[in-house]
Amino acid sequence: MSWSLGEAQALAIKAARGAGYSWGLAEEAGFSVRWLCGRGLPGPQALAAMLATVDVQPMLRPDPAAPKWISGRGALCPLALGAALVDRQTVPGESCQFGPVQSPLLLVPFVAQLPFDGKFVLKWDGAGFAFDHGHIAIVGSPAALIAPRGVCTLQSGQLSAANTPTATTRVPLEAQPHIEQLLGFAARTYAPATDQSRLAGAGAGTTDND
Amino acid sequence: MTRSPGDSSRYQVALRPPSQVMRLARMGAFYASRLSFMRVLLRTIKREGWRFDRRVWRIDDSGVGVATYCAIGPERTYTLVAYSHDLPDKMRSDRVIAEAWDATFTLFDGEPTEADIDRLSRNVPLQEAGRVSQSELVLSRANRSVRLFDHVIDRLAAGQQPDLAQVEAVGYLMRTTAVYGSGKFGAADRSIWADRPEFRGSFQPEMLTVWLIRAFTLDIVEHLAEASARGHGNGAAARIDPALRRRFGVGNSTGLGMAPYLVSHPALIHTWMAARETALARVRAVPTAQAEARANFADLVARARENAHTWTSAHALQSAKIEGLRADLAGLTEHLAAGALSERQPWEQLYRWAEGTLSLEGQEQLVSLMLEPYPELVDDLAEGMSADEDADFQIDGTMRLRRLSEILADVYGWALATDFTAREPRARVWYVSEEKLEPRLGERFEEPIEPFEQPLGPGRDAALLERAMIGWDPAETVAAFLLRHPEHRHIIRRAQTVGRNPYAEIRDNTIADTMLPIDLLRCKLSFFGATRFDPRSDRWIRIIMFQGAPYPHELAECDPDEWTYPPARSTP
Repeated sequence: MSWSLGEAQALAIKAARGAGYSWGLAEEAGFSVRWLCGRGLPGPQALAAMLATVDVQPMLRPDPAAPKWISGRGALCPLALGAALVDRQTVPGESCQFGPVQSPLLLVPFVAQLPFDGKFVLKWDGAGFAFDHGHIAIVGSPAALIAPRGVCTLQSGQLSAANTPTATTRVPLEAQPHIEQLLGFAARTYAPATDQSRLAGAGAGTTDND
Repeated sequence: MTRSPGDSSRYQVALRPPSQVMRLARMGAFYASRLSFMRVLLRTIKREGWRFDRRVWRIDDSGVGVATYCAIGPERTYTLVAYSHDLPDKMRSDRVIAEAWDATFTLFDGEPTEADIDRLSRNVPLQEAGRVSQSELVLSRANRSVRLFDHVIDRLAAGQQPDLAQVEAVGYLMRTTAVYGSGKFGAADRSIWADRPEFRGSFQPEMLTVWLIRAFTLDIVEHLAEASARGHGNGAAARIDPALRRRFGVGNSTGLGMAPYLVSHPALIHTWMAARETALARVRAVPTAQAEARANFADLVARARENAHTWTSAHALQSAKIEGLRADLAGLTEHLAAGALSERQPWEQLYRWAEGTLSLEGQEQLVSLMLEPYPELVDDLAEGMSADEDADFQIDGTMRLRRLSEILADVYGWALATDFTAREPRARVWYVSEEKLEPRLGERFEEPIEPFEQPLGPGRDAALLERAMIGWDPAETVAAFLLRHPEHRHIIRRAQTVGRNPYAEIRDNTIADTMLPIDLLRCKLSFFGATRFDPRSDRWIRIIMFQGAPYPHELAECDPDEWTYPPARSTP
């Protein structure tokens, strides 16, 4: 039962909204998951894990007053952090650290949008992404890629022995359990059906079988 | 594609401003035109010389089985796979919550193998409850018209033609109740086929599907008539006369599922509206109309009158609008007879006369009619009627709040002047019900639905944003504002999109107590090319698609554009 990227994106938006994100940040979740899925990376898994954590303990947003975005109190939300980085449209510097970031894989699609001049690398414990003018290469075990949290370093440079991800147009079957988790979050955005909504809400009432 | 009304400097006539066009009452009076997606599809197929072949027909005498229709273009083949079912009458419903249909369809990308047909037979009949794959572009289903389907079978089986009045009263043998594309239920994402020249524009795979479904509905009814005649020992059944065949379109019932689309796809909607408005401005700028053009236009108006004459609706609002249209077209006919198009800038004069004289229905019917005589000015605009929505996704965080305020004032001025603490302007809530995930519209102050509200009230959201910006330095950036106020991220993204795409936003309140969802539906369906809009309530509508159009086997010999209006009768 393979999913289209558009379905995965729409589901990610609904799931993030269901977990309590504002619509604008929920759309960023959709962007992030679609970007990852399109490169064969486990976006649904990372989002499902992140939302499960959000459910228990709210993520921190980047603090406007503390531009380094290092937290001593808890994990930063990768969606809020990623959106804030992209909004600024500036490279934070030669080398900088963020975090710890929850499900840092979700941050990668945002970093890929930054207007870097040259080669740069995003790393966390055991995982690294190298960006070179639109070309992307990856180092890291599957477990490191979906690390629950990590302190991220962003710096100019490149990675050795990195692999280029394979572009794909479908969400792989292995994602199904995580898709199911996301469906659970998405279901929170649906209003329970009532007789009133069934009739008035959809505007029935005249015959539709003629 | 033009992105801005300012582009009109090439022409002598300015585009109508979004503040005039993007109003629900006017959008709810739109008509099909040369730029409608059905018309675009048939022009492409004609130009490219596609061939058609009913490759499989395995349908038994009770109407159960499978058929395939191959549409063979210069580079690629697409195949409608149609599953025909035996549906008990009591299970037939147009509502999206139905679980069984008279026929179910998919558009296959290529020519399906028997294994594909078998795989699809286990999924397509289930519709939303099944899964299709990247080989499928569209998923759809249809129900028989109880009023007409059996009548046509009975007449044909008795060797007679169907009754013309009954055919005209309904206009179709089957109604589609959903046509899903673009990655839905596992189907191919739009990005898979968006670069194919045959699918430039919008909704072309969906329109191809419906056009092939129309051929299927005629084939199945003749097949069943043949079986009936055989069963009664009547000999051969009659075939439907070619001229009468044309009067069958495909019906469609559309409800709230489609209504949010115009709100949810702002950049795309801009391209549709901008194309239509650019076409109108080009025609209004034509310096003179020759005698032949005037005569052709008068003939077209006569056909539009015939169309208005036979168009009926049981809905009080729509029947009043149809009455107004008939009067408008009578007035237009007189105006033309009095030499309206003999002056210089005839179309500009005519349009200005219409704005001062006709109802919105009449004005918008005239707009569509004015585009008809000018394919060379209009048809190229169809290619720009699509958008890469991902390109509009990223927020420009470097924008200053001063500029954001200007956009809000320009686009959402009506909303900033609305008191959203009152109940009426926010009486409605768009939400999704857990039952079949169907969009619905509820009453904010009567039902416990507000926590489930969808972001489909941009006017209210813009007003909230403006209030949150009070006290902020206008020189501050959007990025800095969003760090403090991530809850406004959605409306800021939208406002920036609209700032680049002026026709992207509706200048009306989509959550007000007086809002009519059928206005949204009609606007979208007019861009499809639908006719005979027949609202069944304020929130669902029946239409007809491809009525009058050539069939696949006829198109090579036909004008692909000569069918939107019925032939005029000699006595108007």
